[in-house]
Amino acid sequence: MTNKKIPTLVGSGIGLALFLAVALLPAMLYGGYAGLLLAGGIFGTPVVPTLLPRALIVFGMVMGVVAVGSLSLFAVLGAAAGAAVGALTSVTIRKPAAQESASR
Amino acid sequence: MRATFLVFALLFATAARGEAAKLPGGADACVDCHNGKDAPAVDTTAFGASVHADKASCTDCHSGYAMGPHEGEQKALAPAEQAVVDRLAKARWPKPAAKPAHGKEAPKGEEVKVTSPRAYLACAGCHEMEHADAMSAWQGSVHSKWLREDTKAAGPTCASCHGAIHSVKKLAAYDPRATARQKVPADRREIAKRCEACHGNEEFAKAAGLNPEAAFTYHDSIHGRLARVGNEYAPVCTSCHAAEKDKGGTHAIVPKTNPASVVSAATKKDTCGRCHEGASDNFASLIAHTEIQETGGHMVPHLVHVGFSYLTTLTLLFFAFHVFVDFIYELRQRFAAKHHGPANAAEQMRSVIRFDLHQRAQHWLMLAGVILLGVTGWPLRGAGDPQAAAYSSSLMKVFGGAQGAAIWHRIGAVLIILSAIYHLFYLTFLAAKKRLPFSMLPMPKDALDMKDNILFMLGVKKERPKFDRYSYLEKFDYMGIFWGVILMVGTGFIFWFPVWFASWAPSWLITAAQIIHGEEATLAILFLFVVHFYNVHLKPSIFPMNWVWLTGRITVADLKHEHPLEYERMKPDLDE
Ligand code: HEC
Ligand code: HEC
Ligand code: HEC
Ligand code: HEC
Ligand code: HEC
Ligand code: HEC
Ligand code: HEC
Repeated sequence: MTNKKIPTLVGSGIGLALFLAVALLPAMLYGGYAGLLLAGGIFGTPVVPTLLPRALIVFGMVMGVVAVGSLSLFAVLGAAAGAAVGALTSVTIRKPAAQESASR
Repeated sequence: MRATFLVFALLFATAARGEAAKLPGGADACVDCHNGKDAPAVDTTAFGASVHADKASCTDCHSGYAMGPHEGEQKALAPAEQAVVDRLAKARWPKPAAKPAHGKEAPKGEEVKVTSPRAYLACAGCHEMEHADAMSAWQGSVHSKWLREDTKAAGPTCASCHGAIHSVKKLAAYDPRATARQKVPADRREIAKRCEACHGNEEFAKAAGLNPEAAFTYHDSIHGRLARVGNEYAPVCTSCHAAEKDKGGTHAIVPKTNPASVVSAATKKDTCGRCHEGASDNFASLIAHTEIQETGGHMVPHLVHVGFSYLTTLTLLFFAFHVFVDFIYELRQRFAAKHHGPANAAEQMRSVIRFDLHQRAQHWLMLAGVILLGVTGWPLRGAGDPQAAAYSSSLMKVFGGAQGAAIWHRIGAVLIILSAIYHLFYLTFLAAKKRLPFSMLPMPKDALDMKDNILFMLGVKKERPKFDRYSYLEKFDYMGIFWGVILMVGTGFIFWFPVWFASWAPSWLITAAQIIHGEEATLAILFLFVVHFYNVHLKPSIFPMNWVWLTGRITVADLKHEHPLEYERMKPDLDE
């Protein structure tokens, strides 16, 4: 179990590093902009930078970062790539003694 | 070696000769003094490369100028001409931003003025003949009004649009037709920045009694975003504001209230028709330099916008909270090391089918489509922000530029449509066999489950509620996709064929559709890539992923843990 997780974690680590290098800034910009649009809808335009709109913009940034990059696409793609590499290099292929049974 | 030398020799020779040969006769006398020390410098290289280099001498424009300083050299002007020169001499404009001005962010303070007002009297003398349409249109245009009468603010000189006169270049031919759309030439993009130096400068526009939002709303519009991310056909200011060439082109701009304007209520549709074949009045009313939710003044788009802002914000806030609570719970669980209770090796080895091949295929289509739609659509949505737009165009280059991304976006749309049709057929098939499960329908129990589950994760309740085949989270995912696909596909088609929809649907409906397409997309993408991805990928106990989407199988241990009610129902079969 653990030796299966290591390539995965390495993969997601690389994905994260890649994210920090190329996608952090755009993710923040896109997210912040989404937050700004939401704030515009809720508080009216032009958006006055008071506490709540600001909070919403920051929330948007966090969502953008989480969605575009750090966690999802980059980390997960990295993890998937790592898992694939791990699967290819591992010699033993355990076959679960699966017993089929349809479910609905 | 010799070849290289020759090449260099030739290069320098032509450069040197070009400069010398291009300066008009008599210029040397002026330039000797106008070297930047004794008198204001004249960029002879730029002049040598300009359209006038071999067409006009210094004194063709600077008539009467001699050995300088020039006080008293020129002859007196007729009163009408003198009035124009006085207006030119008095005029002040905001200095254009070094970086392209956008919306409200134009610089403050610095001003520019005309350095040689008299020179502008000379232009018409030569250009009236060859460019009669353009020059007579200029005489009657809104932009020359300030030279004829007192106005609130100084309008443009020839240089305001054409750039520094000493380096004026010939403009490319540009005449877009719906049947033969034409790429916007680089010089028109340059000119658009110059329009914005005035129309995008809030203070200037307000002082001149103009719409201060003209440039901002353009950049925020679908056209402005497309232009920013590199769509070569998307209109710039002059694409819509220049009259036909034989009516004077850009020189013929008049107020939109003037029937001769190409954006007057009656003529607007022909202007849209330059690129959108068959554009109707209804279609033309979709663009009017207002924020999209205010376009047309109908309340539906406005309400849709406000409604979606609340829906998106509240949904995301709630689920962000849910993810957070879940994450903390998972961490506590991990430290307490009582993962899954006592591991039952047999149950971890044994698995049952959770999703059959059809269901997995539907999910693969959906997944491929949504990711494709997200990476090609998000950059366009985000391009309302000028900084983000720079990243957008780089991202779109991966898809062959903005036009390529538009094609990939449609391919993504087809994928999710296929997935949706597949799914509907699949449901019909199950229904026909009387095997249609209603396990996906939201039930009152789900609301209670949600409350109890949150309380459980917070540590208030001792026990996790028992989920059936689909927990409330999975149902929400499914229902969200269901309504999302209907909304996105429906509104996407309106975007795809706007002229046809405008031929029968009211414009507020189309505007509302455009709003929904962007705002529902934001909600869907953020929900999927934050909440759904957390639940199926990032949860520490699941990371890197829940393999069921590939294998279709779930271990009996997981089934027992995550779907206890379903497990109990299946138990008799499993025990056999
Ligand atoms: C002896 C040096 C000298 C020579 C030669 C000279 N100028 Fe000038 N020029 C000046 C100075 C000094 C100024 C700035 C003071 C002023 O505005 O009079 C100036 C200003 C100008 C201006 C800008 C101000 C305005 O009133 O329009 C123009 C245009 C100009 N010169 C054109 C010319 C041209 C064309 C020639 C050649 C036919 C020429 N000059 C020859 C000294 C010279
Ligand atoms: C096609 C017409 C045209 C020609 C040809 C032309 N100029 Fe000018 N020049 C102008 C105009 C118009 C301005 C004023 C630009 C403004 O500030 O709006 C100007 C401005 C100037 C100025 C003032 C610049 C400053 O920074 O104060 C000087 C000096 C000048 N010209 C010299 C020359 C000389 C020398 C030549 C010949 C090599 C020449 N011009 C050829 C149209 C012309
Ligand atoms: C002595 C005559 C003469 C004067 C004075 C003159 N021009 Fe020109 N201009 C020309 C000629 C000739 C051309 C080249 C036309 C062509 O190649 O089709 C030209 C070309 C241009 C062009 C490029 C037009 C195109 O086809 O894209 C612009 C812009 C221009 N002039 C502006 C001005 C301005 C502004 C002034 C006054 C400050 C001015 N000209 C004064 C003769 C003149
Ligand atoms: C897609 C075509 C299109 C483009 C591109 C475009 N406009 Fe317009 N513009 C219009 C239409 C249509 C109107 C008339 C609006 C109405 O009906 O109220 C208009 C009106 C205007 C007005 C009159 C004031 C107002 O808001 O009604 C100004 C000023 C203006 N535009 C400037 C610009 C500038 C500057 C640019 C470039 C940054 C630009 N436009 C780009 C179509 C366009
Ligand atoms: C509001 C911006 C603007 C102003 C001000 C302006 N031009 Fe132009 N001009 C253009 C554009 C844009 C074109 C290209 C053709 C078109 O779109 O009409 C052009 C085209 C021309 C042409 C070529 C016309 C043809 O038929 O090929 C000439 C010559 C010219 N301008 C000279 C001038 C002169 C001289 C002035 C000052 C009296 C002036 N322009 C003021 C924007 C402007
Ligand atoms: C030097 C500043 C300046 C530049 C550059 C400029 N404009 Fe204008 N524009 C004005 C002013 C000032 C008015 C209003 C004139 C008036 O009503 O007195 C105006 C009016 C207009 C109008 C009519 C607005 C109405 O009431 O319907 C349009 C459209 C327009 N400009 C478009 C453009 C376009 C397109 C460009 C670029 C090719 C451009 N302008 C470049 C200053 C400028
Ligand atoms: C110079 C060409 C040009 C002009 C003029 C023009 N458009 Fe467009 N427009 C485009 C391009 C390019 C797109 C991107 C989609 C496409 O290729 O059809 C677009 C997209 C749109 C869209 C989004 C729907 C879609 O097809 O993606 C709307 C709505 C729209 N234009 C409305 C208008 C209106 C209203 C006018 C007139 C006021 C107008 N356009 C004038 C080029 C133009």
